[in-house]
Amino acid sequence: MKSEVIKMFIDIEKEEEWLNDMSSKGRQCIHYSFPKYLFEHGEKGEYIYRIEFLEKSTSHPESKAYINFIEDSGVEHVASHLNSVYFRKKAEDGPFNLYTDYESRIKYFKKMSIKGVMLLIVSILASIINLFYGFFGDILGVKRQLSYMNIVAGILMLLFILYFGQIVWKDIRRVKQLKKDKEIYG
Amino acid sequence: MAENNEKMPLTEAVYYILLALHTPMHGYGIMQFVKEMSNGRVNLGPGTLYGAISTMVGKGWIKTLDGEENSRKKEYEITIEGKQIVLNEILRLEELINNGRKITSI
Repeated sequence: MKSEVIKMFIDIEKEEEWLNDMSSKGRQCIHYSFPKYLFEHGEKGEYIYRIEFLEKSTSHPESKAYINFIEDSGVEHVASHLNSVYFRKKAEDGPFNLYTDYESRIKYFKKMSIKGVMLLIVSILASIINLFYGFFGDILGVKRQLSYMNIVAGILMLLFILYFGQIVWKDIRRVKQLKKDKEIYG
Repeated sequence: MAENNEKMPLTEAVYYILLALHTPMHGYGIMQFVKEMSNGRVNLGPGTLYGAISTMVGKGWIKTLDGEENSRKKEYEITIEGKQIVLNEILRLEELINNGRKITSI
């Protein structure tokens, strides 16, 4: 038996938690094509899901080589979406984590943080431009009236920045913690 | 500069991967080998393994073996430089163990 769920996530950690939560309830995700998740009903906790945010788009040859390598190690490739790749492995095979030492985990979260910060900067600029244009009109002086569309867009972007900023901050703090742990445990 | 790096500790993952590759192997084989060698203690994540392999190929510690064309399962093998790195590491580990035994009398 199959079922579909439409859901959207900004935080991929929450997304991964959700997939594993669904799995523990007996619903195994077998495919994802934004924004629909397809589930197959089966054993509770049958699979462990991991989502990785890759440096390059999943259609890039480097990403494909990486995905192939992961598949060759007995992991199933469930879906790809933009830069995110969705893997799963049977829980009976034991714990499943893509990165298992401090070095590689620090590297991964560092890259995520950097990408996150870049997106934040772009969003902040876009928000400022929208709000400025919305309130003050075209700098060149042609338009001189409130542009509600731009103000709304600007405010929505601010909300996004606040939400997404927390996620990026979470990743940055994690890198700091991992670095501290690495000093002791190597 | 390079000489200093050679005396730096290796991570457990890197050390065990280098040991595994004294025999030509591909990714999954390395994971199994390391798990067995360490009695299940060291479980290499495939992402960690991928990164470590790329880094070590870059450093010339391991090399890819020419397999069949378009073969997805690449095999790797340790190089002479890699073997030297392992020997240095074993000496370093021996120093640690010897000092540990001296102090704690274990």
